[in-house]
Amino acid sequence: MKVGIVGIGHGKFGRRDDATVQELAFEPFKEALDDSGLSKEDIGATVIGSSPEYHKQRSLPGVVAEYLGMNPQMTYLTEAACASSSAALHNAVAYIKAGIYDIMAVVGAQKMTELTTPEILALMGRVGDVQWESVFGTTFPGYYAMYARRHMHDFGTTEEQMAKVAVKNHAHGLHNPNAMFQKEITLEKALGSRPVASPLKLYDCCGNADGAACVIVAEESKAKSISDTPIWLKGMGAASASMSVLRRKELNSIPSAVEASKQAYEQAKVEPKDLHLAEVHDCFTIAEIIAYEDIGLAKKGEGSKLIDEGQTYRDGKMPVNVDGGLKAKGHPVGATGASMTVEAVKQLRGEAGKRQVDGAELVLTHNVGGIGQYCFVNIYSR
Amino acid sequence: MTLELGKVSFVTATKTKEYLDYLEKGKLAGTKCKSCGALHFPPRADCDQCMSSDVEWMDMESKGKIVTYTTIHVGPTGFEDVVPYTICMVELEGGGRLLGWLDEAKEEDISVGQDVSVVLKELEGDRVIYAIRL
Repeated sequence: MKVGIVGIGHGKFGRRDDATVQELAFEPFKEALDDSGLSKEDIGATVIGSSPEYHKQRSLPGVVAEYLGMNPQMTYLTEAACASSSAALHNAVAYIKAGIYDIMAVVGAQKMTELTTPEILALMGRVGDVQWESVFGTTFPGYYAMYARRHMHDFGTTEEQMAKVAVKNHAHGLHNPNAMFQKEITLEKALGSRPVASPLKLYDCCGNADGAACVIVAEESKAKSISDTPIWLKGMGAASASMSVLRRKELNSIPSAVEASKQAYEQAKVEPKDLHLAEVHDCFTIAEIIAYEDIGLAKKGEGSKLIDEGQTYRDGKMPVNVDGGLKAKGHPVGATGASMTVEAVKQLRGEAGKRQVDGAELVLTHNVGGIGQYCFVNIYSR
Repeated sequence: MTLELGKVSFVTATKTKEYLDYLEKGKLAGTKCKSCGALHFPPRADCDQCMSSDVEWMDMESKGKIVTYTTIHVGPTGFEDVVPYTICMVELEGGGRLLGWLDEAKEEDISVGQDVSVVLKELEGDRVIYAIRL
């Protein structure tokens, strides 16, 4: 049995001083209902993807489901750090395939700006293994910086190539009204920005944001009756890797991404060369270059060539992150996976406006949680 | 007085607390699974290879090579007063990896693959860090 996406919604990402997290969640949920033509009574259950430690409100699904008018239906949280709503989608699809529900809503919602800077800095100091690594002051940028340093050493990747990823994604974000940043940046500006964790600079890092996105999924026959253009989940890969980076054999590749993409390609019976677009997890510029390699768009060590040659621009041979990626959209961690899926669906329906990739028929999303502790890779088609 | 590892501690209860006694004696210690022989460093109380909980302590080498490194300019809570600091990941001779702080050298002086020593350096009296020296 196939599972189809029949409704999508995407709120404005950024500093949302105007809304609570449940109010943020309402925006894309309502939009997805309208998009699908369904009413909330048609939805069998909701799964909420979020990283709970950023919220003052404890037990987020309680308040979100209430605000969406989705009691007494089942709801709960999935947590996989920055891949939490991809985990929620994985859950919803499993329920549908098991025949328990016909239609489900996945809501990725996150508010990150209600914490004070000291609170954010305290959280940042506990992203790694707290027993053996955080005691030396590791940070989220610091981990990806260690990956970047190793990738530079192993393959000759340069800081300029990383900066080019930021320039590209900001150029793409210009055409995404839901993006946090809608302005182009220059290579000079990116390279001249202040150091955060060497070799990563400010413009190598995505920004914390508030935001929400929603995806409604349905079993095959229902999907066909609900929508003229259901988008099918052809492959869904999911994998994990050690929390401790000390236990990773290599530091130039995210092992969970390699494994998850292998599963997704096998299920979908397609190869990387068949893709028309990929939305990848560019939490840091180096992460996008590593993603090119991990999902097979480039050979290992040759990811930086793709950006040097401009191949991953919207009009290039293999467009990547045409919605601006995490870099320009902002990264409300729990909403990012659902946001990627929304873009995949828009592109496959031909509804992406100025950022439409011509002839997009096969799209991949690559959503990494943490420093690759979790990874979900999905392949979608019309 | 028992030494604590690193600048800030988050874990207070662990089956590997004997590790701190070795630190006090100036030693790096890992655990070895008595059932399958797997070496664990950082130490584990339980073997994830064969699932045995029968492990013994063993001394680790204090020499190794730099795997990767970064200099943190924006530090988390508890580290504001020491930025910038350079974190090195070191692969010890004979196996095992650790993170430590580059000491008595600058980031410009080091490279991936470089030979280094891990020295236990006391900090603020009751704390000890891995100082990575050339």
